Amino acid sequence: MDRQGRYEFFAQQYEAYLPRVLNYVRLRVESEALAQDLTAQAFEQALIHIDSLRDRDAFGGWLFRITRNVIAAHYRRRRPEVPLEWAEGHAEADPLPESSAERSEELETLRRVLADLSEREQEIIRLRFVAELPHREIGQAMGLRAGHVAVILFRALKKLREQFE
Amino acid sequence: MSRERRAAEELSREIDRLYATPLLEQGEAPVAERPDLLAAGRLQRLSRALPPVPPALRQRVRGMVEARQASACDQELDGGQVRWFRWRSVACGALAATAVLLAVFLALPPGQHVLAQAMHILLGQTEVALTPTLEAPTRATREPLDSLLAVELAMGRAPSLPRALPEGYVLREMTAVSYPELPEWISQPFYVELAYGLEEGALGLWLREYRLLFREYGEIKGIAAASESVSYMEEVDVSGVSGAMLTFSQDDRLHTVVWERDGLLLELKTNCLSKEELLQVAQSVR
Repeated sequence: MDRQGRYEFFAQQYEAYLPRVLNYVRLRVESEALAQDLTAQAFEQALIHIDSLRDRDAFGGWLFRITRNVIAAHYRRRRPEVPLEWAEGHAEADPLPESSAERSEELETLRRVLADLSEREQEIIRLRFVAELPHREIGQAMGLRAGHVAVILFRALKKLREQFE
Repeated sequence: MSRERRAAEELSREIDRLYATPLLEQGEAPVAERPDLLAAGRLQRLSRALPPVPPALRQRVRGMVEARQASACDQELDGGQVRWFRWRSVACGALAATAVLLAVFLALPPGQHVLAQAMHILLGQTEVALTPTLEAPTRATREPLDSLLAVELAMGRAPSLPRALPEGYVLREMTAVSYPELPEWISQPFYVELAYGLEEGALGLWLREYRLLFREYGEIKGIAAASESVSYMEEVDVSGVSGAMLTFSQDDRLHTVVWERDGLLLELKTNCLSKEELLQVAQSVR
């Protein structure tokens, strides 16, 4: 697959992954503006490193590995003050739609539900139910075997069932 | 495989089925049948209820993708053009260098020889021979000959001799004259000189015979003075063939008749006979 072919494949795939990446990032950061900015950064980095995409079937795992790195980089360079890119993100970001109150409530519910889980369980829940990745691609994104991902997910859901009942 | 692992993999398959079914068709059935799926179903519904992607973000990402695609396309075109220009430059340079080398080669004797051979091969019936540029020979060797037989051997044929000579004139000297500096393809001696005179006294008549290869392919068609030392020139008839009578500026008694006969270029000169007497002797040469 040459570079031009990779870009064409990316153009066919990114629309389906954009809401999943954005929702995943929304659960990782506090601000909607920052979530949008980091999502755009993730896609930009993916385009820059398009040559590292070896297997088309692993596109989801590859994209979310880049997204996790972008978020990690954001937290590494975060300062007490509001960062410049954050400010720019605020300026460019769209406000939430009319039903934002209800939908923000869903977001807050998700955050609250996940809060009692370990960081690894939270991450697997986010990647499975928000990013909608299969176990194999979750394993690729996190460096785990698919069977191990299934067991961690099973335990996490067991804990969450009590909260939802 | 442990029981927990089996249960985990079974639950994973149920979740996959859950995601394969649209939300509106799910109802509460899967969750009711499998309590394990309760949390999964709630998480799925919560996630799908999150706000949609804002148009500005969608536009921003689309712009990045399209810009990258266009850039890659341009780079591919640029790369192709660069390769094309590079190869075209190399090809033009090689072609020009080859043309220059070919021109230089054909200007030199080896190249002309090759060209002549090529023309001979291509044209078939055409014989091509190159005549190198000759410089006037500066050194002559004179070999005295002691008899007309020696003259004949030197010339490779019987010499032409005058049948009528002025009274008292006899053949006194015979000489083969060669020019060693001339190319090998010019046979030597270049000419044979027969000198006549009174038995006692100075020589007064010389006949030079040059072997030529005109044969039936050529003859003297016209005469022109090529030397500034010729003060007078006229066309004369020498026994039916055209010849030239020359007088030289350094000595108006010095006359020469030049004509061609039977494959020989004949030159008869005198410094004591009149032009009429000289012409009579020339006309008697056989």
